[in-house]
Amino acid sequence: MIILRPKKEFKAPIIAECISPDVFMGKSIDEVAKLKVYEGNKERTLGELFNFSYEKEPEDKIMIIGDVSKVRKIGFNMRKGEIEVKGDVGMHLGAEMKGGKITVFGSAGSWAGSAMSDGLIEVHGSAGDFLGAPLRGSTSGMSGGTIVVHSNVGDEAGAYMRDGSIRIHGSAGQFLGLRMRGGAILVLGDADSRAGAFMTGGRIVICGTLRSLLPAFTIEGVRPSIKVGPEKVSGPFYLFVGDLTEGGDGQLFVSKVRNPHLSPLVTKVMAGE
Amino acid sequence: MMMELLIKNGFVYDPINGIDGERVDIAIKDGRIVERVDERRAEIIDASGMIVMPGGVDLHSHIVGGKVNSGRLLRPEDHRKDYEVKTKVTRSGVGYSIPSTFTTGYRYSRMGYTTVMDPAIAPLKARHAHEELNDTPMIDKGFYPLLGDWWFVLEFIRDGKIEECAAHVAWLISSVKGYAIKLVNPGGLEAWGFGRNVDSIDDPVPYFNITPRDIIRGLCKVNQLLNLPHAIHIHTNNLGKPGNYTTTLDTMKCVEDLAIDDKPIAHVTHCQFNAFKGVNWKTLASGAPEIADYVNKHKHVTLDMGQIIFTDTTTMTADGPFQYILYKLTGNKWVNSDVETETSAGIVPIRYRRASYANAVQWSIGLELALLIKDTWKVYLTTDHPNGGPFTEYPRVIAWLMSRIARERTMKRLNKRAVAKMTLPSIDREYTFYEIAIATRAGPARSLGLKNKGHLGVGADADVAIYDVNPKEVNPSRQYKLVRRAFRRAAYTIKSGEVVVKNGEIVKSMMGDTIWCNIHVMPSLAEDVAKGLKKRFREYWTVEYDNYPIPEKYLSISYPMEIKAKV
Amino acid sequence: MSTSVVQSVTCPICGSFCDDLELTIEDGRITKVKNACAMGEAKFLYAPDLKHRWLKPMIRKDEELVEASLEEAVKKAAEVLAEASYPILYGWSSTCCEAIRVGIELAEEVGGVIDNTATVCHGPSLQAVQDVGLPICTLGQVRHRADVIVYWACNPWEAHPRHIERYTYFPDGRFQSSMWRRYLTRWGMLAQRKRILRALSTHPYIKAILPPLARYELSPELFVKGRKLIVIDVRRTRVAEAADYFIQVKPGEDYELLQALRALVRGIELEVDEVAGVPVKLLEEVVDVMISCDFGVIFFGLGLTMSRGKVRNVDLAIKLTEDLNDRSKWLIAPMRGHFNVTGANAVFTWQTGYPFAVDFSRGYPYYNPGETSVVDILLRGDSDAALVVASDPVAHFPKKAVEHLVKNPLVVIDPSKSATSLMADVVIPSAFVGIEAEGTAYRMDFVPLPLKKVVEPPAGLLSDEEILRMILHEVRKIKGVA
Ligand code: SF4
Ligand SMILES: [Zn+2]
Repeated sequence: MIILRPKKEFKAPIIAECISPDVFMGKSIDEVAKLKVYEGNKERTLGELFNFSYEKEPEDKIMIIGDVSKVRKIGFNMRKGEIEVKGDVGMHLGAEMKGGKITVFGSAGSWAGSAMSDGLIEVHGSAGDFLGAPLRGSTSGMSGGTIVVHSNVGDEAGAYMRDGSIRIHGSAGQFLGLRMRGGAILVLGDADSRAGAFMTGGRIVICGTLRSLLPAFTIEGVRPSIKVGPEKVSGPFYLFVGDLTEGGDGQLFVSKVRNPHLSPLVTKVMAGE
Repeated sequence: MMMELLIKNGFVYDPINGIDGERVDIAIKDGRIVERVDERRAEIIDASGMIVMPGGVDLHSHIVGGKVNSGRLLRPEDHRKDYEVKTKVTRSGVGYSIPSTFTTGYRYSRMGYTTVMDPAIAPLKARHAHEELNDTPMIDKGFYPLLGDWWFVLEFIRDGKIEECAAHVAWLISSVKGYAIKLVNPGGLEAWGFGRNVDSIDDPVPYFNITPRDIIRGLCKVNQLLNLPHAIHIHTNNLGKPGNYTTTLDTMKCVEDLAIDDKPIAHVTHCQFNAFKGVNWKTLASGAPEIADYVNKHKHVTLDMGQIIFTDTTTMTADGPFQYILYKLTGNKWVNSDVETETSAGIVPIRYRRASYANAVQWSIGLELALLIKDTWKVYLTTDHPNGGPFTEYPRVIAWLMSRIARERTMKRLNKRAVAKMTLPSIDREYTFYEIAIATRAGPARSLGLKNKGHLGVGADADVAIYDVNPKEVNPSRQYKLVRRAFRRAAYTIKSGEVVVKNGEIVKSMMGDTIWCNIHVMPSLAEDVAKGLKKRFREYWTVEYDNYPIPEKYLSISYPMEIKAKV
Repeated sequence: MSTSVVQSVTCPICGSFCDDLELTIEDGRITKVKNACAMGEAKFLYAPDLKHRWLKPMIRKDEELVEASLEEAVKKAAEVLAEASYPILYGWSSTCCEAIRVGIELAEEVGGVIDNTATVCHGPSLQAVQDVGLPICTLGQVRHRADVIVYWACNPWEAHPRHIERYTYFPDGRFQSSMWRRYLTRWGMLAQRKRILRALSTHPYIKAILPPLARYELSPELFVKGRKLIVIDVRRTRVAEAADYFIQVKPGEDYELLQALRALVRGIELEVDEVAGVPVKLLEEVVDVMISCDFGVIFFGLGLTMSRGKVRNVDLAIKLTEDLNDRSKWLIAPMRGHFNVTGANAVFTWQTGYPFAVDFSRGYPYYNPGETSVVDILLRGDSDAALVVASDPVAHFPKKAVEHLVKNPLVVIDPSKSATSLMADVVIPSAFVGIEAEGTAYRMDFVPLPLKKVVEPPAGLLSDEEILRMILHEVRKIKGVA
């Protein structure tokens, strides 16, 4: 295990896609210290920015101790091994990740797990916007793997998601599961409005309050409980289907108890049937 | 100070001068090919074991202007995977299917291309095209203004006033500094203004009381009256629709009687996209044999391939209604851009897939056209960049043209049902290097009427490409990969007498000319045109008459071709 | 006294970018402006006034801005930029494309982030385009063909005063005619009706001597024929008063309204009676108008791009427009603010592939709004120097962003004495482009037009382009590549 400690408080953004077990494996500390990173527009070596220490086991693990909230792309494209961060971490954590495990004892910036296809990211603090979502213009969202965030997340979590699962213990921002086609998102807290916008498949489960429901969703019924991955979450839940303007049949489960504001609509529609 | 250069010992392919792989030394001085230079003073390039050709000439590649730039804007995901880092001599930029301007210039130059024409610029946005051309280094360049749906053209043709029409076209081309007359889905784009289209060359254009046939014939006559160096450049009606090969034949036939001498008068562009047989996408088949048959029997038309490549690319044409259909077919993002009084445009990203029946058929059509048309001078290599694929994939097309084995290898991976129906497997023909030189430089240069381009005779512009492949040792049919690699990265590119590329890398950045036609009509006629336009300008456009023409000083290096019209 | 008249002058103010102004110049001063709106006229008459501008380059020494030579200021500016690890180069939408071209080259040379004002106005629109595309047209197309015009969350009467008159509701076109007369008649009748109603309410006995009220109802003719104007906004603006339909949407709920409209256009019945505070009945009526026209267009403004939902509001508005094309011809266009913000986006895009927020720190263009957009950079405190060209972020950015901006070395190139320039470490005053210097700019619909030089700049002031070239040259000298 290689342990990295930042030498100073960073100011300019640091792009360090080399911080990944795939890259570190088989390299000596000296070699790792020579890996190139960018600090703003200056090319640096990892060794100029971090102090290193080494422990024999486990071999394929990287530990970062300290605030790396300015350091971006940690674990980018990672396929195996483990990264553990004790502190906050910057944007694009585990972006395009294909395997392995990342744990953050702190918060993560935006685009964590962006377009990942396998592996596990667990963030014990909060995460920024675009959790698991692809970068602008791309429609290839998360296609596998798991993201767990213990606190809140920003807007557009799980956008363009095709498969895999996201579990949010806190609350989610607007446009949760935007243009989602598959996979599952579970929110234990509340969700801001526009959840499921443009969704055509997959499943979103909101155990708290949904600020407002989009007009292009229709009520399908009430379910006592719902399975999200291996886990059974008990409700009861309203089950809405949408986004109808996209001809979608995405499922949006919303806690019945926590969303009394939806009940008049539900009653009206169900009575009309 | 201009250097003298001497390219020694290369195998020269210079079809315009009938040189077919002979060892000839090429001498260069002051940016031109000369008889000889002083060997002691000149820089010597040893081209032993290499091919020497005139610099590549591309007569149809969407590289600049409003539409191309909207395509760039539309596709950050296209750029992210392909970028160029700044070097000491080059600017940074991005690819892939719609490269930024600097990158476009560098990439063409790296492949040994030295002249490129953009085929579709809305005249109202010509200034934009020039701004981008000023930022496109390494190549000589120009563009064709879109004229097939310009209200003035439609009205004058409707009223039978061909000479007035010609005079207005002359004004427009000279004002916006364009090079040739471009028609895209003539009549269809005006109809698209209200969301409609035309469906044959005889379908009347709404509100204008004329047909596409009238427009095509009218502009063909205008082209002759104006003595323009290039033929009319046509993207036919019904492009991209199954069964459209008959429209293409109709288009070619409808100007047959206008031909004088043996000079081609119509260039049907990216013919692959308009050589579809069948009644729908499931029954799509190749109409290439029929079209090739017609072209083999007639002298008044030329074509370019519009070959597709199996890749993720971006379609962009002025054909608004076609692009809308494509958007509906693919569900991909869609840009439409209609231009008042003149034209329209559309953009849709696309991925051509080997497994797709329709795409596999399309792939065969492009190659069949090139292989079934006997006279190579009539059909040129293009991908209708970026519609069929980015121009950086030309070497792949070269390999398919030169090697049956290369074609078979590709066919093995294609949709089986499509392959079973293709004519292509039965075609043995393989292009020679000489024919490749025709299809990629001599032919297009001749078609464009660029007398100093596309050849290496004395007096020609010193635009030269040298490729590291030995025609005496390499058999392109079997070693097509070597050929492909050589054409991807020129060993040397020489532009205007200077070495700008070595071993596929830019060693010197430079600016090429912007080539345009300055057409002179009779002064009295020109005066009438100006007077009439001044009066009616505000009725037609939302900009002022004074602000429409582009002053010559706007072009970073202006190269006007002075043309005396018959009117 | 020498008097001359310059015609077809473009107006370097708003995105309408009118090009039909006529200026009278007397003794090197603009004395009369014809055809412009009040905003345009004021700019030409008063902006060049020396009172509001710096006339000499200034450098901050011991907390004070003091006069400096141009060479000194350029050198200082170049040092600031060349030494920085993560400089930002911001502004650009109120200068010409020629200057922007040099600006991008400079950003590339110093490895900085270059961003234009779209980042705080229509950046979300550009991002939406990157997600779903954009069916758009030039403004003349609207003038000639549009029979339904929608202004969504914008107030052209104030922000683009001549937009309606030149391009949409009031001009004559080939297939559509001006609604000016109808507008006047309707106003007249409405006013008359109001008067009578008032009279009736105050003096009930007058009723006896007046013809029945129905006589003063607006003739249905006035609504049926010709162009229709639909206005959607959170408040009843002046343009809303002129509209055939006005939809007042609850603040922050444009997204819901858009989705409801889209559902109706696609023939999906809504299960609610009201969306975003608007009765579904009214929406159904408006959708009927929208799908039965020959040519419709939606113009949208900052009320859509900067309110809750931002990118996604525009994303959905574009999807709605795309769907409307199944029924009729429909296009959509952003109401761009500064006269050349569109040009800035265009030049950025052709040189780098991206329309704004371009990061050159690794030697190639990288774009990711939210990460590479200047406001976000400032809020995170990533940057360590800034160049601001023809823009006033100190007056417009969030407070925390401004704090970081002015904490670090700041270079300003601007023709006027902006709030930002007062906080700068180096100020290089420039000539007003479009008045004292020429160039190119793009109208909001991507139509490029020339900016004219009609009077001489004050002695010693150069154009933005020239100043930037000098800085670039100086930077290259410092880096040893000149
Ligand atoms: S509308 Fe805009 S561009 Fe036109 S005159 Fe007024 S300020 Fe100038
Ligand atoms: Zn084309």
